[in-house]
Amino acid sequence: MNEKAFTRKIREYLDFGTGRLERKAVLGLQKARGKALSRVEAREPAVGFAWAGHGVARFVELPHFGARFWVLIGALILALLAFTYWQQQENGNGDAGDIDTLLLADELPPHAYIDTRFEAWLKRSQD
Amino acid sequence: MGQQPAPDRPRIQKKAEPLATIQEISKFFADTERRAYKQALFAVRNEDVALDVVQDAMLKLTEKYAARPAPELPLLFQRILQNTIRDHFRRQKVRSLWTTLVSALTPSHEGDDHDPLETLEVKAGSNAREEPADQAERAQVLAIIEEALKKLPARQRQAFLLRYWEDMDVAETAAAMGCSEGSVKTHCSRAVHALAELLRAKGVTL
Repeated sequence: MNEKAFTRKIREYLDFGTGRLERKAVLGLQKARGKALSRVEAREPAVGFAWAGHGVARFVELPHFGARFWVLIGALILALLAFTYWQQQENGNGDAGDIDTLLLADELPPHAYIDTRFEAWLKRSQD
Repeated sequence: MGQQPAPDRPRIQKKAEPLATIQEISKFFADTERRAYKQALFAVRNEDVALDVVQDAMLKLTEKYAARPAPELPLLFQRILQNTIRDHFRRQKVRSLWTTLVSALTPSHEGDDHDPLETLEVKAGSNAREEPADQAERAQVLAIIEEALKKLPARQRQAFLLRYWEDMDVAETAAAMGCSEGSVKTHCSRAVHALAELLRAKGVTL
């Protein structure tokens, strides 16, 4: 017996049989298909968003954190900004102090005296 | 029946393949549903139950695995279908156990000539008897083949249909059946020989 030919023949007969299904079965299958597909239609947008979310998460490799974590991060950023601002203020005062020291010690470079902006700043700081 | 039930979820391909669209799923169902129905019918031998089984399998596929690439659908669907058929038999077993217990507690009717085996016999042959006597030879042969398939042991029939009708390779059939590839080969070989023998006994040579 040629097994391949035998199974092919059986397959042909079985395919022939599927074309001869009773109307009740065909309608039942159509109904079942429609019902199953309606579940996909209902879920499709949600599935899309879910996949988009997954894609972003996978791309940035961020695990899921709770609200507490984000509040902490916000506080940290605010603290960092405040510190930076304070540092800038400190640096500004430091510059003025340095210049005062240089003026008192007569060590100010000569070109500083011919700089009009420097003169204006000096007057402003004296007020 | 010592086989471990196969889990619904097969090994997942990690390749980035495009997900199945609703049109692809619809086409897949349209192409597969009749064969799936026949497979279920061969197993459960009841048209309404077979329809329910196929519908359950379709629903499970769309509810749990709609967001999968289209090439994964055939194997997923077959696994779900086979598990749904298995679940049906499991439920039936539990139900029949309860029926036996309840009937053992209720008084038996003397002179009741109802024989459950008779009913089963009629059911098993119902398809063949429904075929008209003057049908074409092809339809007659088909009926004989379907009867022969019904007579095969469940696992042999399952392996045979998946391998030769659903056109799955040995590995896919093994995955769908939840058994080893060696078992699939054995089941298929035995099924082919048993079928040939059954058909020959009916005077059919293919």
